[in-house]
Amino acid sequence: MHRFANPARFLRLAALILPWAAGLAVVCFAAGLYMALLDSPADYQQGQTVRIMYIHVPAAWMAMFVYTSMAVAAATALVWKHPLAEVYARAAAPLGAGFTLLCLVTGSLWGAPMWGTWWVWDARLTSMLILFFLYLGFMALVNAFDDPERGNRAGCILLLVGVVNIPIIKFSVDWWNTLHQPASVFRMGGPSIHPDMLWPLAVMAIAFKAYFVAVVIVRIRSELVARKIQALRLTQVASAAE
Amino acid sequence: MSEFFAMGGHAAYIWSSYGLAALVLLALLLVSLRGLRRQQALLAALETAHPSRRRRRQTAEEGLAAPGAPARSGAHAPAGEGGLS
Repeated sequence: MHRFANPARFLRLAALILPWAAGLAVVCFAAGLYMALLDSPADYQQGQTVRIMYIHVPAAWMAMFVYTSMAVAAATALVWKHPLAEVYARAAAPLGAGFTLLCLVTGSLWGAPMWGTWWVWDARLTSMLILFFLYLGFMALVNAFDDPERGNRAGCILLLVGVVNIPIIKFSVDWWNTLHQPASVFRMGGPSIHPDMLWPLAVMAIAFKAYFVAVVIVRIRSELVARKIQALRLTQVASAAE
Repeated sequence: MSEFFAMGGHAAYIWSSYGLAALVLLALLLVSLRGLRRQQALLAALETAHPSRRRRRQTAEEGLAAPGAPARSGAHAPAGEGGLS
């Protein structure tokens, strides 16, 4: 029974957090879109296209954050057999894949007018594409086994192996020559972008994070109900066999 | 106003970025909410179709134990209602 104690406690906590996260996401998206589209200045080099940044950069941060959190969950699942860790990884994966896709496509839409190309096979873009495939691979792998325990185990190992990609993405702009501009927010010596652009970016980043928290809670609840259905079916099969 | 929508000549790139973001985020939200609702409906249907085996056995045991051994059914009762619900 102690196996279910943690999910039960989690569900109580999640019910408290969900309305706040959803509300914060709505408020921050409204404020962030206003600031990003109307209140912030055009860039002196990139003109209006700089507004793509307010989608592209939060999506990229979330893509890396979600993957890192899934890798931590995978380690927790493998070492301590925490029952919620695998559930979290399964619930978060489609969201992380969505953020990565957004980052790649908006980056392309930004690159076309500013770099003169939709895509280059340089380190930053390629490592981000690999991250997208890691998400898809994880989602395919966990559902590829008849026994969900084996699927989860294989998925956790994939997550841990793939985490090597995260520092490669982060430092790719420093380690290799690339069209992609270097970090301008999380860098030594503080952000190098003007507060008029930093604020909308921060608000949009909070909106993305709050959105993720709200939706991942919904998805975890769904996964837990699915597990309960599975357990119920197993006991019914067992009682029918008696 | 039309100047705002023109976005300095880059309207196609900027608005498709924002449109795609809205599309992806809303789609993931709706799919997640619908998935939760479907699983909850399935669970409710299963629980009404097959009332809990544990509960059935418990009432059967209580029925058997009632005349002779009240202590035994008492020992089983706390273990019966588990954390599943």
